[in-house]
Amino acid sequence: MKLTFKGTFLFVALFSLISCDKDDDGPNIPQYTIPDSYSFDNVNFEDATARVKMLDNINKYLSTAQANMDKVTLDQTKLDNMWVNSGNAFDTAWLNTTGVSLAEITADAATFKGYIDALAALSAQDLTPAADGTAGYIARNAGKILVSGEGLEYVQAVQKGTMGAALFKEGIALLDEVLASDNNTVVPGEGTEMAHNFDLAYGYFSIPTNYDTTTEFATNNRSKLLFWGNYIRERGGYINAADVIWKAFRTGRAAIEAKDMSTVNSQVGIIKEYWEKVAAAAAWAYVTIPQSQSGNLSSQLHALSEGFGFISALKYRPSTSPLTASQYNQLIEILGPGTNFYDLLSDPSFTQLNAAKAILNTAYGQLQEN
Amino acid sequence: MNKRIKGISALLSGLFILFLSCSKDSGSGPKPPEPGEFDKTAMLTHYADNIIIPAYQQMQEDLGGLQQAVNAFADAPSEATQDAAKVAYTKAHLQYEKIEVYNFGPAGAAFLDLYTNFSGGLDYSFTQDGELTGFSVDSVTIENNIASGAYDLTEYSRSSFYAQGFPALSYLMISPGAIEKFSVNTANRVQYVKDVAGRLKFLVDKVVNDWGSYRATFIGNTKTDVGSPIGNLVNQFAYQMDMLKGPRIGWPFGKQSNGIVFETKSEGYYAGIGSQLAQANINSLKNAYTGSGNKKSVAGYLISLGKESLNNDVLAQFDVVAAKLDAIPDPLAESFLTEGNKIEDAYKEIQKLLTLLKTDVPSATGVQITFMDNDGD
Repeated sequence: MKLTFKGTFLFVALFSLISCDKDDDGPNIPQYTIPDSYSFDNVNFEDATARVKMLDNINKYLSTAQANMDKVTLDQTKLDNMWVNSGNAFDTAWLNTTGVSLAEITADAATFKGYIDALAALSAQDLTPAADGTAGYIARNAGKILVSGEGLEYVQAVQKGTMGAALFKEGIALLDEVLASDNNTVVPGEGTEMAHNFDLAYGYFSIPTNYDTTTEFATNNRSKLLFWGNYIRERGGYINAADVIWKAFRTGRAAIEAKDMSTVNSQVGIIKEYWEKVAAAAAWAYVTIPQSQSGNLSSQLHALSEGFGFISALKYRPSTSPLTASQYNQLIEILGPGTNFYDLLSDPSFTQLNAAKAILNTAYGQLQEN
Repeated sequence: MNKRIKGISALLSGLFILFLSCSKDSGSGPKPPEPGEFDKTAMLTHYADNIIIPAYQQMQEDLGGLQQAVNAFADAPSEATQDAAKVAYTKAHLQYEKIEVYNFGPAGAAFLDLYTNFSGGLDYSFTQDGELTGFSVDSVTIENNIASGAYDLTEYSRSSFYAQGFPALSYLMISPGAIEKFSVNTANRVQYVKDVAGRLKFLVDKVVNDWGSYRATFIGNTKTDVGSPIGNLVNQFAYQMDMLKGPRIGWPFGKQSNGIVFETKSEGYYAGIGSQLAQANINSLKNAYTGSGNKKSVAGYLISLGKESLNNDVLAQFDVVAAKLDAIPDPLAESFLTEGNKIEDAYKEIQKLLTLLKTDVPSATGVQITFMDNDGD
């Protein structure tokens, strides 16, 4: 569906929270269309994609320690190299020579690298059943999870944590820069500074340029929908995140080309709002799901560890976030560094987890169907 | 709540209303069903006070009896003390089937089902022999524990689950040669069997005790969302049906292994009471569904939602499954080998009831089935 500027205007009015009452006398901007795919001139977000793939590679390598019931010792040197991208640590030459690393964009890098190192050390020990106070393994599905003495599954702490501290944090920072960037000087191959910043944010969001929001597409493109690109559907269904964000990225990028700054502004706002809301919706789901998995400790710890990661992502929320500092502090008090997951699960009424749900609902409204 | 939060909330709700007003498809999900005048608090109170808590108290009493009989047997192993222990064991194990469906809240937090009657889980394949799956007993770990005298029954691992609870007790007391084995390393063996019985009692005591405070949470939450009491109850109906289809009947019969029977992995193997246990399980499930024939129940809730015909289907199918299981003679392990047609009959009907309880009832009550861990990453 091609939209004329009039159509775009209507669309913005419909999908932006704040623009319903906008008057019909916009600035003098030539008509432009919103394409069905993310296809524009001079789009290049290779650096973002490279870092997403690096996280994917690290995540897959870490997961080998959990794939079956055998002891699989992770190679600490390989992980050190993957983290900073040195020593040809990745399987593809493209990643090894791309000149960028995950470490350089990760906030609180020592924390997240710390989870990687802790997992590597645990993987090198003889397999010990995990218990409250004892790091070790717990069988889960056909394999196992390796958890800390507090029950934190390190793989999830790395994966969901870095989705927040690297991909989300960087995406939001780029979107914040978009509005202050130059939109006149075109660099061949990457467009204007504004377009490039916007494209990189798109890259960190990790959906392909021919994305569509159908289940069929998600099923057929599972390997391309990494991290946030997967989670907009997996946990963002109720808040309709996939439709909203996908439209906002295409609309925003078209508006950059047309120098329609008010639309760029509104679309950047929508993306920031919904990207954060996906993290909140996922956190909500993962403090809820363990409450229905009584007796299945590994699934409960797995879910809580995902929740831990998504809550940690909220630290990097935009300045416009509805979540106050005090609410965030309450959340990490419940499920953050130092939390004993066994204590959370030993309460039959799950009082703490329900308190976390309430905080998220207060800040963000309803996040999941029920 | 401070002023700032209030301000932000007000702003947000304002925006949300604005959002609703300018968009037809506002993204609000399907509303939970309106139950009319159905009193969910009364239903939950009925479940807690008249069904669940009394069932746990009966379990507690039966385990007291079992513990006495186990101690008498362990102190003087003989056919007479063994017979008495077997009677107490059977009574307690059958009672356990009546509480299994309430495996949430205190029982969930205590991992009661894992430590008392481990099924091996729904995600462990029966295709390879020699692996500990289903209602196996880990006799190797048990004998090692006895030999070393060093064990921790609170350990959370599959070998730990398979070395305690009802299956371990039946191995220690009723399996062939059980009495004779007490002549070697006697003190350690006596201690172990007493510890296993003591832990069963300890866990159920804890659950009974915890229901004292959990009761208020249970009857005070009338939602049907994930983790709510009603949500958990409906999930457990589906879970117990999956257990019947899998570890209880289908998998030891060979449904996962091209017809290769694993009779030793059936429930109550050494006691030879697998069919009785399955019957007790389905009867208890029906009892839970109908609230012991009371309108204050999931069945009554369905009727209040106008789902009378679904409710009738479920009730009829419960009776069909119960009759088919009733037709299977004990020992169940032997019937897996000699009564294939009867098992097959029961299996087919179990599948039909499974569909009703895992798909139709959840959808009618607005409950999501979440007990499965299908989180891919």
